[in-house]
Amino acid sequence: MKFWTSILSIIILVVALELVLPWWSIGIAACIGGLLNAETPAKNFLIGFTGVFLVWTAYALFIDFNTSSILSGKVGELLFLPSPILLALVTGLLGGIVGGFSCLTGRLLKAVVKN
Amino acid sequence: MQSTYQVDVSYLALTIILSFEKTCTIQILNRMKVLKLIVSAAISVALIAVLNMKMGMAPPLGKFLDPFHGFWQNSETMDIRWKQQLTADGLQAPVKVVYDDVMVPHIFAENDDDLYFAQGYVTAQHRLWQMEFQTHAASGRLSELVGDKALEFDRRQRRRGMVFAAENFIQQLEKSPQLKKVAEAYTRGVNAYIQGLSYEDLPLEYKLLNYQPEEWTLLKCALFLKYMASDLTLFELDLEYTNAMKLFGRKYFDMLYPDTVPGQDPIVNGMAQWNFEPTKVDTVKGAFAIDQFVATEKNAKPHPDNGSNNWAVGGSKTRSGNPILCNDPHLGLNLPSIWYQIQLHSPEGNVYGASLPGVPTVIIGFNEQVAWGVTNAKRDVVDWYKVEFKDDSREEYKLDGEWVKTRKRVEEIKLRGSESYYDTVCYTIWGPVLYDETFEPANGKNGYAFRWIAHDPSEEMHTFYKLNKARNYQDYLDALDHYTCPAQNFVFAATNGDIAMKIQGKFPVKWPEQGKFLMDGTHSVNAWQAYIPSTQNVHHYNPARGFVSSANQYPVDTGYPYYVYDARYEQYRNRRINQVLDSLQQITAEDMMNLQNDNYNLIAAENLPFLLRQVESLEMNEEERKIYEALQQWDFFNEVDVAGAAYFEAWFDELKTLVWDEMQGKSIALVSPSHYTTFQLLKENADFEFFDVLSTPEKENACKVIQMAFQKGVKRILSWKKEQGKEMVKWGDYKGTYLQHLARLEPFNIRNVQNGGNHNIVNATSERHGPSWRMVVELDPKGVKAWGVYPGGQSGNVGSPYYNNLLPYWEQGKYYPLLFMQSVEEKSERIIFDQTLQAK
Repeated sequence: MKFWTSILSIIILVVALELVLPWWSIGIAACIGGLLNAETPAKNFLIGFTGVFLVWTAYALFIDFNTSSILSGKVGELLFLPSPILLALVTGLLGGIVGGFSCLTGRLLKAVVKN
Repeated sequence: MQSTYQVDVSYLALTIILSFEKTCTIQILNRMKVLKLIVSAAISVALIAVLNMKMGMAPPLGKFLDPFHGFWQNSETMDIRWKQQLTADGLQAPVKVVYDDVMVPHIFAENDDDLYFAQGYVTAQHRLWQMEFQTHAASGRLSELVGDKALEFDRRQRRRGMVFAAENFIQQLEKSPQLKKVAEAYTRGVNAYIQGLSYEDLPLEYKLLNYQPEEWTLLKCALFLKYMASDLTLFELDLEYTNAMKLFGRKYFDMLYPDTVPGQDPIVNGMAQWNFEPTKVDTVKGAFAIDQFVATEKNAKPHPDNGSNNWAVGGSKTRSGNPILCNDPHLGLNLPSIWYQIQLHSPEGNVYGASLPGVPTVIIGFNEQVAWGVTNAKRDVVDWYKVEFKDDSREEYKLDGEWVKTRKRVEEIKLRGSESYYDTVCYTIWGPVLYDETFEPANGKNGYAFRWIAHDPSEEMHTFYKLNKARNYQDYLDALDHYTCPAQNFVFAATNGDIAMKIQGKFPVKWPEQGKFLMDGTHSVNAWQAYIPSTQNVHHYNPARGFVSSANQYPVDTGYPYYVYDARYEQYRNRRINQVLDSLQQITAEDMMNLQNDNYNLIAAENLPFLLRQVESLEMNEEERKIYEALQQWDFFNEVDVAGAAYFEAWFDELKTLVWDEMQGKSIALVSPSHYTTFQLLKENADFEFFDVLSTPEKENACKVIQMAFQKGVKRILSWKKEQGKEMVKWGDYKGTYLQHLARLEPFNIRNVQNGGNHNIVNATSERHGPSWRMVVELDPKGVKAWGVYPGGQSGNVGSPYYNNLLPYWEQGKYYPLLFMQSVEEKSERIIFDQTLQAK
């Protein structure tokens, strides 16, 4: 699979698993994504990161926009983040890092198993 | 739920590592690849584990920020997106709940069991976290949530015997199957809601503090009622007065802390005949233990302004000829709001009003025939006894010359993040020993036990249940007979034209000054000997003046044959309310709303001219002159945009500090005299010894101390302006009213609330305290009409527009018409959502 299709597969997996499992299912989704593609391990980190980052940031922004930042502003303040956009980006970043390492793990597992 | 996740995560990690280890031993050549995999997998698993964990004050960030389940899911809009068809175990018939445009639920059930079930369910739907948090606070369990910073608070709650009190309530409840059914139905309803919750539905605070709601119980209903009892009865000054008596002597004590002051207007004043034979008790000589000073109790008391206004005007004084009833309870301005509006409709009754989340029934409200409301009936129902233990084991204490065993109750206080703390509380015939050597301020072999009426078995829920269904004055009296604590002034009005006031509670018959000071706990004769029968409590029915009213003042004139005492009666609101009600004729509901929002500062009106005379000869700088002139022109109304109210407040605050410097910064518990007494002494006793300011070599008198306070007050105003960067002084800004979230998280508070008034003013909004519900009800026989508002909103969710949507109305003194539906078929444009609860 190509770079962007790999990202797309992770996006689909994240959404599907999050609907039935808790938040850490992003790790499983990204790991499976890593098992499925043939990109280099380094690129896989990026794939996993981008996939989860996009889903989490976009969904957070969607909620933020739909609810006129009613809660994100206040929670942002609690976490010392001055704007809801920043909070959405931090949300995406945290998910992205987990996604990146999980996807990398999936890719490395594939390499080991293949041998 | 959380532990399951963690197990899952570890399982995932284990699988990856095991599969990898297996591969590793076989494929030596691939060692590098394997090593990379180990590192990557370990990082992934560690990341997930760390982000799933609460770190210090921070929530588990991964779990919390996940937009699919975390806090983002608590963001709401005005459109309700709850499930409309709900199933729950334990319902006999379907229950319909319709919500109006301010999110008040109107519950229609086919029987009372289902009705109270639905009340529990619906209340939890809006207020679950608050309900549980408040009962955790009541029972001294906050350390479970926040660790040892709540330990002192929790220990005090345990040592006060809060759970003991709630257990006694439940014992009494067992004796009345009808009420037990009500509480059980409510409890089942709350639990049905809790059982249907998954992580994403949890109220925000659970996610932030990372814990789960536990099962609701009957005991929790009782705990909440006892929490109200503690909030409304534990502002007492027995230990302070004991110290003052010892320090200043009887002559000064009586001048500083008189039981009654002239010019007051008791709730029932000179108009009633007391046609009964009062229960007599013998005065006990030498009953006080005024032999040594008692150290300061730290952070121990409820807010001194906890109180309320209520009144009812009869048809003779209203334009429509219908009675009008009004009530506004003054409590802490908290979020989520203290009250929760609800309508409860079943074939057995139809009632609307303010409920307390955690307690079935409506507490302040109206039905098709009657309306009722409450204010706190202040009366000393807490007495302190000095206990003498035999030795440090506190196994025995002295009573009537013998050593009697204490009953020990070991309290386990679970601390989040560390081992449990065990506290042993000794119970005596008086009650629990709150202070002993392990808990200040007692020391040595002494302990201070306290006798509190709220520890007695009681059935307050009965009263509210019966009031909800009351049809006339007789039903109201019958309902009140069940009521013990916290004593309330119950105002009443009915569509048949009746109005009434009854001061109801369980009051000990006391000999003069009994319990005003610390009592000697070694003699059983010092105990309360009898209780005033409910029928002999102060009451008033259709008085000639055409209205009844109460505002936490002295309850009754001296004709009442019992000794009546409380450490601090309110001395201003009652007089203003009665003056206005006396002067009004052809009263409308709007007049009553205006009176609830009345900002007339009677303290200022009575005393500012006197204060100004004391400073007129003072040589003033420009700023002082400006403030002096502004005060001369001020009309005594504490409106939000006036400066005079702020100037007066600053001056008065400085004055109290200077005059009562004798009582401040002491290691022993002491209290300043009341505002009323302060001014009375200043006016009538210019050379009173206490006016001397201790920090100066000169000897000051009333005039001098008033002048000093004026100059300090001006400085206080100037530094406030500088701090705030404000050119103009406005009372609303200076007072700085705000609503505080229960978890005290600053972003969840609402700052800069602009409402006039102050303590001791009818509109009693001070910095963080004030009218927590304003209600006006017109008892029209053709259909009861009502209006209401409270600071906050129906939803307990910080992320909901209904969290504080009523606030702007409350700030401006406006009201919403209360939608009192007659049947489930009734159509109204105000209905925005409905739910059906059905048996599974």
